Amino acid sequence: MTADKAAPASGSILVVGGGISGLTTAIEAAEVGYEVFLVEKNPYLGGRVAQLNQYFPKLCPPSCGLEINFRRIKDNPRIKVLTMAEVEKISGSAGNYDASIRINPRYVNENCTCCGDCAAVCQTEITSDFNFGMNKIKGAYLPNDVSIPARFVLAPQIIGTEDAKRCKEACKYDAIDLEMTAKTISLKVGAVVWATGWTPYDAGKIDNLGFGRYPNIITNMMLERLASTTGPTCGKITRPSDRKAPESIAFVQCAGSRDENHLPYCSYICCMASLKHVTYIREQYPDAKIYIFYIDLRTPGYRYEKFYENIKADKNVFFIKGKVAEVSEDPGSRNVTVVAENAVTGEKIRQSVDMVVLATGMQPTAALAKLPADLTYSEDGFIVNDFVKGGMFAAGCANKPADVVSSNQNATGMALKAIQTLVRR
Amino acid sequence: MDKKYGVYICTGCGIGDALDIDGLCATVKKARKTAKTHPFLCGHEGVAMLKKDISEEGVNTLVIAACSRRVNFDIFRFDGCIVDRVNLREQVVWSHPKGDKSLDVNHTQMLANDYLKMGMIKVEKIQLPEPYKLESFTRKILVIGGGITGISAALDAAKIGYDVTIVEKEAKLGGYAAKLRKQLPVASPYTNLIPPVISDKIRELESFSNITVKTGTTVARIAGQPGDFTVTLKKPGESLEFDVPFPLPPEMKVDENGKDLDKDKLNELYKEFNKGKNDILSFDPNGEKFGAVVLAAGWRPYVPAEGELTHLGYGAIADVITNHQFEEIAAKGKIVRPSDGREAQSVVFIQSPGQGDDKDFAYTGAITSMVALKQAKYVRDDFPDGKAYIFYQHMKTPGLQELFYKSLQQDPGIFLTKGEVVSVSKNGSGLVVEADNTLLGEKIQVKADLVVLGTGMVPATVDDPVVNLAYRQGPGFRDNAIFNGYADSNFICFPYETQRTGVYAAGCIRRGLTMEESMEDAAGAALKAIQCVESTNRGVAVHPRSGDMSFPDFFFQRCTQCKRCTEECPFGALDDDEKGTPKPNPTRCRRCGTCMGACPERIIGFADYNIDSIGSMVKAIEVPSEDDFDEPPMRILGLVCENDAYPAIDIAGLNRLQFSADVRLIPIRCLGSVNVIWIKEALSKGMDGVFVLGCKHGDDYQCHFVKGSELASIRMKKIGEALASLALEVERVAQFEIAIDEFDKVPTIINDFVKLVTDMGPNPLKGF
Amino acid sequence: MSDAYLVEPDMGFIKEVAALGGGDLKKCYQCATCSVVCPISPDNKPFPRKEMIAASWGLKDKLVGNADIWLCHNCGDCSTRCPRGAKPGDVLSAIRAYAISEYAIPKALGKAVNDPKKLPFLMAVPAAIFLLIILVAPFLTPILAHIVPILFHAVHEGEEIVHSSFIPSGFVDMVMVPTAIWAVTIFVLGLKRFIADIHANALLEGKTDQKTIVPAEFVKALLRVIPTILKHDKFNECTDNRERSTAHMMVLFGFIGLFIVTSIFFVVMYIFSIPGPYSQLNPVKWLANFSGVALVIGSSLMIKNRLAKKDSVSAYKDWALLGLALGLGVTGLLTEMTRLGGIAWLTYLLYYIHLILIFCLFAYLPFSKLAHLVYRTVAMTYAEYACRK
Repeated sequence: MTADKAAPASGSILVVGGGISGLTTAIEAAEVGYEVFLVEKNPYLGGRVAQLNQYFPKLCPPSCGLEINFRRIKDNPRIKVLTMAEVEKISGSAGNYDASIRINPRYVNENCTCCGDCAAVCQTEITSDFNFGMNKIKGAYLPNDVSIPARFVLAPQIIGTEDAKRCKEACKYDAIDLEMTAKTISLKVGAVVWATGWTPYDAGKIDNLGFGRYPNIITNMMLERLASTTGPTCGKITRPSDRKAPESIAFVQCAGSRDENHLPYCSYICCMASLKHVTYIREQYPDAKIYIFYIDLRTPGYRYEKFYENIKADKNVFFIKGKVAEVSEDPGSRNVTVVAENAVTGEKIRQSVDMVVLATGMQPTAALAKLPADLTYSEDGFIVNDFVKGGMFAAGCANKPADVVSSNQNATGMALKAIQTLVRR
Repeated sequence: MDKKYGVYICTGCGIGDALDIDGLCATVKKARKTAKTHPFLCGHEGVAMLKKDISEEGVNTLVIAACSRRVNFDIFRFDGCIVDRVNLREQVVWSHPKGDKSLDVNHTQMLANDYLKMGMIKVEKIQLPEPYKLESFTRKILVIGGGITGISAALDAAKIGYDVTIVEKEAKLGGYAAKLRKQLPVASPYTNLIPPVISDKIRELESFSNITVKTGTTVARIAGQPGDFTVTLKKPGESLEFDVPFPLPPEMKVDENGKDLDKDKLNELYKEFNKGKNDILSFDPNGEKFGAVVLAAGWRPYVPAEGELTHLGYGAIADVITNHQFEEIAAKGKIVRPSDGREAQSVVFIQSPGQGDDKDFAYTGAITSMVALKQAKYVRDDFPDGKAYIFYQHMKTPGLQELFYKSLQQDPGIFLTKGEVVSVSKNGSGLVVEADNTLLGEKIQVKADLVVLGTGMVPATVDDPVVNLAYRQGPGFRDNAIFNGYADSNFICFPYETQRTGVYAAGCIRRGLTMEESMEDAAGAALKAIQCVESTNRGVAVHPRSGDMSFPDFFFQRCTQCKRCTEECPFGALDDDEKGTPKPNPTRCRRCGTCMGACPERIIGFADYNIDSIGSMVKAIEVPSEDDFDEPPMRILGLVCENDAYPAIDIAGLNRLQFSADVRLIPIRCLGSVNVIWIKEALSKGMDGVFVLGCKHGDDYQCHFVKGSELASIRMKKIGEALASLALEVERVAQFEIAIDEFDKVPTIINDFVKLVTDMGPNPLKGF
Repeated sequence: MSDAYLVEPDMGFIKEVAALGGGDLKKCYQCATCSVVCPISPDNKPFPRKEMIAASWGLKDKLVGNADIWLCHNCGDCSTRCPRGAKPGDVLSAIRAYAISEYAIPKALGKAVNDPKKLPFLMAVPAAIFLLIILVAPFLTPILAHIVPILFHAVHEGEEIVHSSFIPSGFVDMVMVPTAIWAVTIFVLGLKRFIADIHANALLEGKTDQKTIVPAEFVKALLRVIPTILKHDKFNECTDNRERSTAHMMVLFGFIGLFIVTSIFFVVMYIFSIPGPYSQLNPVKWLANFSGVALVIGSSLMIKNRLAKKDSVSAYKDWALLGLALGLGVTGLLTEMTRLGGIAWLTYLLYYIHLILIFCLFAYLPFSKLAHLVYRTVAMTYAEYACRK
């Protein structure tokens, strides 16, 4: 896609980020009748929710909603999707921006039919970022089962190796192009919506919680992958050290959140996420003992309250008001002991469990790498919306920590704000 | 249009290796159609071939036997052409063993063959849909409620040129947002209270000529359909002949011994029940026209029932009040006690009714924690030595509101603790609050001048339908019951997807929201309203089948007025008349086909999806009999929902999971659109079993057409009885649930059913 | 009504604790991280979480008479880990300062000691006393010399500079001995209430099973804790700033050393009537010098640490004590050196200052931060006695 193919500046909206918020903004705007460019840095759409096993509180699979959204995109020629693409620069002003987009090489062109012959011959294995490094995948892979574009990708690691050649030879459709290089295209757009989303806070930075030191301490996002049929264990929740079925699990809430040494704000979703994780574990292990250490349980809204009520009814789930601040491992059993003070009884608790899940929070991706545009950020790196100025807006978790419902409400609204910019001029 | 057919078989992706392509071509020939094959149909060359046939040969009806319709959608889209995709890849060669071409029984080949025939017959039976156009159409948007949400929604829509009318039942605009002393922060840094933003909003509103404000007004009825609603407005409490009629409550529909009353009796009762009101089908000649509606009627303060909170002294002690009453006092001036007007220098805020539970009060969401912090600050602002105590179970300041909490708690006169309040009692002129399980390590007592209960915000929809839709199914949203009375969406991914097309709820009527959230929600709802009128104008469906141009067509001559379509439509798109003849409202319709599935006379269909098209596909399936085989393989029909089940099966194929080749799968819009005739036909032509595969139902239903799988399960039971009468085992018809991510379960579900049927033996009707 | 505890927040108390260096106490949101990361906090009713909420609710009576605030060695681990920046370590040390002035009478003096503005006045008192002595000494000494020659011996011949010829020891002791007695008296009075209070508090909060305090057992407990104190075991458990341990040890041993030296020479002078100055070869003198040096180095290190630590508050109370310790050491050593160096005017001046500082040490001990020497010892003894684990 190049500038000349782009719609007149008046008409089009650039949405940065193909996660649930970006998809929502893009599709909702396009279904009103505006032209949209959707730019995603990964080789697939879906972003963070694509890594989730189920949504709370309905416990339904995110791929269901994604499938519908992908079909809406397929049926809507007004949306142009660019994957493996990053914004390099945005210049201009509200209603009239010049965006230069860098498209990184996929090494697989539109000829790809997803037949999988390349993966079959590829011998190199790379660690899967999608599964948080918990398993290895082929160097030639299909990033996601439902996502568009349904097209394989070659990992940069194998470029220039024998493997790359093998893949090219194996492809019957001349879909592998090892000469592919990064190219930059420019778009003229009237408004930009930043839906750059969030990144799980690096649990390794919370040095008193032992992540990275003890194998049986994992993060909540890792548990999502462990519970997913497309995950490293095909959905079987086992502990990393020995693949043993856990009989006792501790959840450490606010692992990094509400903590000025890490993330001073509340990440909004972690309490509900852990309650949801209880249902994952309960489904597989009817008698497992589950301990949830919290400061405050935040289940905003009647639906989340109801969900919490149901979990409370479970006699093998124990809620302790007190933050875990110390962990230790028994080198023999590899079991982990978490220490907290029950602030209501004033007793120190030393609970030994098979596995510990850190409820790590969300950090705006924009906080880790500032965006190449004239934007205002909060101290914590969230993009602050200026509706008076208009032109550029943040949607979803780029703007504030939120659950999927709120993100989508926000993202739908931002589609209208973007349209207002186009109409205003 | 007169059709020129072209059948194209792709031999790529292993199709050519696994199947006898000549055999398939022969099948095409038998159907008097021309077949072309290509090793790489989706490649430039292949597509060029198709385009050439379209432009030069005039082919306009294509059967593409290749990969699933879920991929290469854009490549095989040709304007003005009917295209059907026969899924030879994911659901044949990728999910079944490579058949031995030499053998005469080659199950995989038979499967491909049937699918090809089904595709060919389908395109014969369907037409290109023509968009539905309304005779009269308006873009005007009606906003119900003139609070912060309604005003924001109106402004957001007006800014891009839409005409908006706000109706507010109170005498002036502003709602509760205008009744506050101060409000929570709406933007970074979230550290301090701010003056209410509503006044600026109202000022801004006045500068828009395309916004009409009608205060002291409510909605009597909304008749018609999106793009062409006829709305009757009225003064609150006024009663008009155009007030919306209500359907008969269930208990009135039966006689004293529980028997259903007949149609005429029901009509009579209905008229009686709605005396003085015009029926929904008669439109108000003076009604205003609107294209879509934003429902922002907001909330009312929760009022604890008599004796509900006696342990907290509510009702008995004058100085125990709700946070709403406290706000009223604070808005007037210095905080004083209702009992004696003395300054309330020591105030206790209670967040949870306690009694062994850590639940907050009803309808609170996370809002009341923040309100308590806000109101505690009032006490501090009013009195230098003022003391404010907050007893909470969980301090709920989610997201960035945590920064507000951190900032407020630093006030030396605000005292917070988790704890369960056990009692509030009088002590001379003051009060004593006693709390247990606090963080102070023991049971404590606090002296107070005033006690404030953090009670919730009750959505307007709990008290009445508000929207007053002149729909046969009733004036309100149908499933608010499962949302505690809120007008919420059931879907995580689609917060504006409700059962009433063209009506979009926003703000505290859908969930307890802060003002910041309400303003965002307002923008979202405004966009959906605009999107709905634009889609209506283009004659296409809104989400989830957005862009679909087909709509249900009725052959009324054969209608028996059974009312099933009217009752079962999840979106209340049909309004039947006295006789029971349905009146379709196509722009309310979401194109799920539930009416088509419900109709016993089979008079409802879509241009590209109807009883005949699917029925003919079923008939096209070859049922092997003893004549050709000593042991004929089983033939089983699977009707699969195209939203979740069909993709799941594709993904199973993508992962090369194998399942029985005796099953023939037909994608359908929704299990609700399954008409039992298809199942009967399948069985009567000798197929050995039928299953329908769809999504989870119940309170957390996943069906985007609300009741599809639920209705199907009811119909399956009914058909079971019919089968019994035919001396067929009821087990031959089954329904299974699957979610899109459960592709790993596909082989088990299918193979287990095939085994079950095989064990029962062939269908006795075979060969008749 | 029931057995419930009537909570009456004292906002004045909150403000005072803030002024004493606990300014962040209201930031606490009770996550209890502090109680867990504290290396020396017990498992039953651990501190400082409960102290933090008591403080932010202004519950003075739950804190002043609470032994736990003294078990804290202010290592700062809790402050480093606190997710809210409430700095429990500093809050506790502020509460301790408050508690000291609560138990030491007259209260007014306690307040003065913690108030920088009063410092000149407090220093002026000894300065005036000794100045007076210097002025009257020449006239009184001859007369008194007849009565107790050893204390008021006439200025003898020779080159050697002798401080007693500048301010005769007799006069010094006439001031210092009563001052010491005064200090001890105040402590005794304070401790009586203190011990009663911490026991009551322990019973209330369920921190002990001991119904009463048996003096004999209590003394045994004291003997058991002394090694712990001397070895600085508690300090060494702390992870955040361990280096403090050595420095603190030097200062403590410095004081102990000097105390021993003083006592010995006191005996030597009053019993064996051998007047000073004593030979540098005298082992006691070695101890004196060694202790002096330890005092100087130790206190300097602690000052350095405090300046380096940005994340914890250093209040006037802290600087005052460190200043005094350093001052004592430096002036002491310099006095000696200048004496040996034979610079009469300078050594006399330094000696004068040294005396002023010693007076401050004794007279203000029960009111200053240094009182922790006594209160922490007693609190630790009580914890030992009450089997607080």
